[in-house]
Amino acid sequence: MPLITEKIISRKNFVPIVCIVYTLISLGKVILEFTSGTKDPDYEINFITIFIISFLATFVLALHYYLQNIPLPLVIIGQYFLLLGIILSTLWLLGHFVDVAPSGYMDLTWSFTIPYIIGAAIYYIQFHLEIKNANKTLEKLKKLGGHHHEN
Amino acid sequence: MKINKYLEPNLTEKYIDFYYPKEDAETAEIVNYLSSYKNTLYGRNNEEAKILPIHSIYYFEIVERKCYAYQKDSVWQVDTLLQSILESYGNAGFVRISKSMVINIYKIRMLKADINMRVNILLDNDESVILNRTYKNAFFKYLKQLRKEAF
Repeated sequence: MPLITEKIISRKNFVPIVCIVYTLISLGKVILEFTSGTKDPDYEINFITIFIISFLATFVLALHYYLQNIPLPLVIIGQYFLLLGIILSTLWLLGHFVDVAPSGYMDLTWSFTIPYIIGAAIYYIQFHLEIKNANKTLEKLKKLGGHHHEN
Repeated sequence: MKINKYLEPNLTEKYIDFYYPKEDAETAEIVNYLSSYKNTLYGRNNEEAKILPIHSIYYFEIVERKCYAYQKDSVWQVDTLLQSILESYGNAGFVRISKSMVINIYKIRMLKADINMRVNILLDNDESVILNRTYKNAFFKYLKQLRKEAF
C-alpha cells in the first residue's frame, strides 16, 4: 500500500488550478451581484484583476512545498504579506487606469485578510484534529498488532 | 550466477545453499532478495552481519546514499532502496515520512505537534523523528487506510 506523495499544485496542474480559482471567484462575484441586485461599474478591469490575483495567489501557494525547512507559522505569515503586497500592488497599478475609491486599499486588505485568517484557523484546527485522530488510530493498531515483537 | 535446482521428494523442508567467493554488494543483494521471501533483511555493520526481521525495524534512513535500518538500539546497513521497502513492506506498516526516511507505523508511540506546527513522531525506543510536511497528507491517508482495513 505504498502511497506516492503528490503536490496539490504542480507544474502540470498549475494552469488548470489558476482557471478553477478564477472561475470560482468570478462565479462568486456574479452570484453576489445577482443576489444583491448591484452592478459592477468596472466589470472588465475587475475580471482582469481577478485573473491576475488568481494566477499570483496560486503561484505563491505553490511555493509552500519549497519552504519545508521554514516553520509553518512563518510560512503562513510570510505568504500573507507577500500575497497582500501583490494584491495591493495590482490595485495600485490598476489605479493608473481606473479610479480607485479612497477606501479601496483598506477594503481590499480586509477582503483578503478575513478569509485568509479563517483559512489559517481551519488549517490549524484540522492539523491538531488530524494528530489527535492519528494517535487514537495508532493506539488501536498497537492493541491489534500482536505480531510486532520487540527486538 | 549459476543456479542448480534439485528435486528431492523425500525432503521435509525446502532449503537454499548459497555459495559466494566474497562478501560484496551483489552477495548482500541476493541474500536480501532471498530473505524478503520471509520478511527479513540482511543487515551488516562494522562487526557483524545479521538477518533482521522486518517487524523489528523502527525505521529506514538514507545517509550518504546508503540505507540503514534502525532497530531498538542498533543500526544496520542494508542493501536496498526506500522505494523497494515501500513496495515490499508497504502493507506491513512501512510508510514514508521524508525524502530519506521510511518508518514502521507499529513502532510509533505517539505523534506530537510542536510550536512550529511540525509533527514530531515519538518512537517506542524514545527516539523522535520529524514528519516532513510534504509527506504529511500521505502519512495520514496511510493511517486512515490501515484503520479502515483493521477495524
